[in-house]
Amino acid sequence: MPVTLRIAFRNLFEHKSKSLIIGILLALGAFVLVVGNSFIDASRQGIRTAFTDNYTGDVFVSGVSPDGAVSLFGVTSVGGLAATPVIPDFDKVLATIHDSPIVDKATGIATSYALVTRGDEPKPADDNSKEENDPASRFLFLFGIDAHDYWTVFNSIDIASGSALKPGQAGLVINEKQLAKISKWMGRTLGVGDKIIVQGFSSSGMKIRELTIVATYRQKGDGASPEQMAFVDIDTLRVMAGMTVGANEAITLTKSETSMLSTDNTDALFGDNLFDAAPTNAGFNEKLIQSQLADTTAREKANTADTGAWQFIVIKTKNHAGVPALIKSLNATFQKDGIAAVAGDWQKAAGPYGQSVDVIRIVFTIAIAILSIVAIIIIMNTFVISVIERTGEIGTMRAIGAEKGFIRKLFAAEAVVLSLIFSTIGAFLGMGFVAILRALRLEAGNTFLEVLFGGKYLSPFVTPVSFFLAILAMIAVGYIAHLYPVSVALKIQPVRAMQQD
Amino acid sequence: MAIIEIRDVRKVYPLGKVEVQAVKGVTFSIEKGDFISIAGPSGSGKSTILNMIGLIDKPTAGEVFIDGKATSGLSDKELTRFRHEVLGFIFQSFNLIPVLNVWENIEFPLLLGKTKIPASEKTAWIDWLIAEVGLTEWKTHKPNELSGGQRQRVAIARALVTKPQIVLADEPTANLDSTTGEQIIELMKKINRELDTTFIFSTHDAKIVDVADHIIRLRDGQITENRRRGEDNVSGSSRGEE
Repeated sequence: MPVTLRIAFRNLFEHKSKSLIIGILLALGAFVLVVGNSFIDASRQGIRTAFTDNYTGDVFVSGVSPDGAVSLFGVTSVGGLAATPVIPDFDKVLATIHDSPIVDKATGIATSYALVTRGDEPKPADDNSKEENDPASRFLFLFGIDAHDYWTVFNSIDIASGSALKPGQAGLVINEKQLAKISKWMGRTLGVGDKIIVQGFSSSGMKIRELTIVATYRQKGDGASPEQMAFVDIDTLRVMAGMTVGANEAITLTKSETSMLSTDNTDALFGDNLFDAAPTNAGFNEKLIQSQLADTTAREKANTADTGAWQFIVIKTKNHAGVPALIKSLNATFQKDGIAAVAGDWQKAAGPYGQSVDVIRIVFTIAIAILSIVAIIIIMNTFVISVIERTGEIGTMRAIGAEKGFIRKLFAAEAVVLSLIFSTIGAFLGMGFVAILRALRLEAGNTFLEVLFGGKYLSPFVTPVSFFLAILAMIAVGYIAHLYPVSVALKIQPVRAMQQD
Repeated sequence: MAIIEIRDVRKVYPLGKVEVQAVKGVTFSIEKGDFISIAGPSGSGKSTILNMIGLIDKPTAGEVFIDGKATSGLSDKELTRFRHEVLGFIFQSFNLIPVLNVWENIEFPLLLGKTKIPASEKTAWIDWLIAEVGLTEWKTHKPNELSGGQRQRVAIARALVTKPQIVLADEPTANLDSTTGEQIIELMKKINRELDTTFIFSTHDAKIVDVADHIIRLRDGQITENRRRGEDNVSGSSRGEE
């Protein structure tokens, strides 16, 4: 064993109290890293499994929006709710997808936000802090599905009552727990066959529909699946999401309407003398109004689903390892064929849900970085004290022929040995703690914790990568902390050996 | 032939706003194989001169020649190499590395050099040194398990392990009782004879000074006496602020 390591090991035991102070800090750091990352990894895996198994598949294809990134939850834009684009040349895109040998199954879907209403205004007595009055308890996130193949692509729910949507059938499949909350709010028990009024929200406005509950479902696994997720037939969804024939129709304006819209002089439109100068006869008469109201063509178009319009295609693959290659190949094909579509992974599809894990990880990393800085300062001070105490020893080494490089190596070895031993202890303690938490199987209890836990139960796990990364990170902390003390040590002149008492 | 030559060396230390002249223009030379004592009361400048000969301190003026080579222009790395290859040190407070045992402490300087010594040769040499200083039974003991005299014996063996031409000892008996101090000086003298190593030691103990072949006495940073045993002539001088 090199003499630097030999001295480093023995100094650990020679200066027990200092080693313990530094060691406990490093062990604590490794412990926190292992436990924290086990939570984040569990959360990520839980959300990933929930989304890939239930909603997004392994690969997700969407249209392209100039307003921002497209996910299952719409377009992330600064200006509010932007229209979720439909996939152009849907049949061609689907055919391209099916051409890939690693694609197992694929289906089109569309989504929309919705709120269950009971036909009355909220009463002043309705206290939103009460669970039954919480808008989240009657909120639905609707998946418009093709009943021909959706249930063959995703097999992660059990029908609790009724039967799953059949091809050509209109209706709603809702989570049984969410239906119970809605029932509580409605003040009556709802079940299969009952109708509920649902308001759909989209960039084209609000659509109200009466939907028949055809089934209730429950999630098969313990994944972090929001209870608000519900399934409707695609045509109902298209109408509620504004994906109608009328939505794509060009409106022809008269010459006077065009000139009015293109005017820059707003005073001319809304001037002070607006009322004074109001025309006594603007060309409106009862007959004209009646004839215009009688024409319901536009309204019918606005309520006629644009069959063939799909917002997304979700793909299940035969081989998960091939997902990045499939995404790359699909995007290359879309670009080559000039199709405004883009393929991405589950995280892109999950949008804010997928990003939540990254946000948690970033917050955790920042917290760890701050703690590390504090730890570095404490460790650095302790090392400096150690250097000062060993001035004579360092001076002696320099006097009898140790070069500065040797002193540098000696202190680096001490820092690394100390960090390695204690961070490994901390990492193992963290692993043990995680195993205990896992065995306790603590229940999440609410949606926030479900997302944090990555499922209904706390099931953290330690990956080899996070275990070794925790140790490496703490070795880095120890190494950084020794840099200043070693610079102090290098300034010690050999003559100090003579001045040792 | 002089192995060490000190030529008009001065050393000034700043002490607050004043300057203290520790050595005031000292000139003398030391022959190879000498057993030389630099004697004088506290503050006479003996340790400062020893430090400058040991290349761990630099003169403010003048020059130190070792083996005919001027040392003032050497870089830190060259000085370190010079100290390692040519010089050995014995300190007043022994200065052993506390976490290494006797054998490892003696071995330590060999690990700092660039030259690789065959393991068997190294072991035999260290074992011989340990036997020479009478610590064979103590070679696995740590410094804190040894007496002062034993520690200084380890320090002597450590100073000799690189086979240096010169060994410098700064008050090697100051922390020892008189009997042990005499034993240590006897040991140094024995090795001086056996290995023809030049020994330079500083002391203020008159009994120990008498053992030396060559005595240099200092007072207030100046040489007051420089003579070989049995000789009266002064072969060095001080040209300080007389």
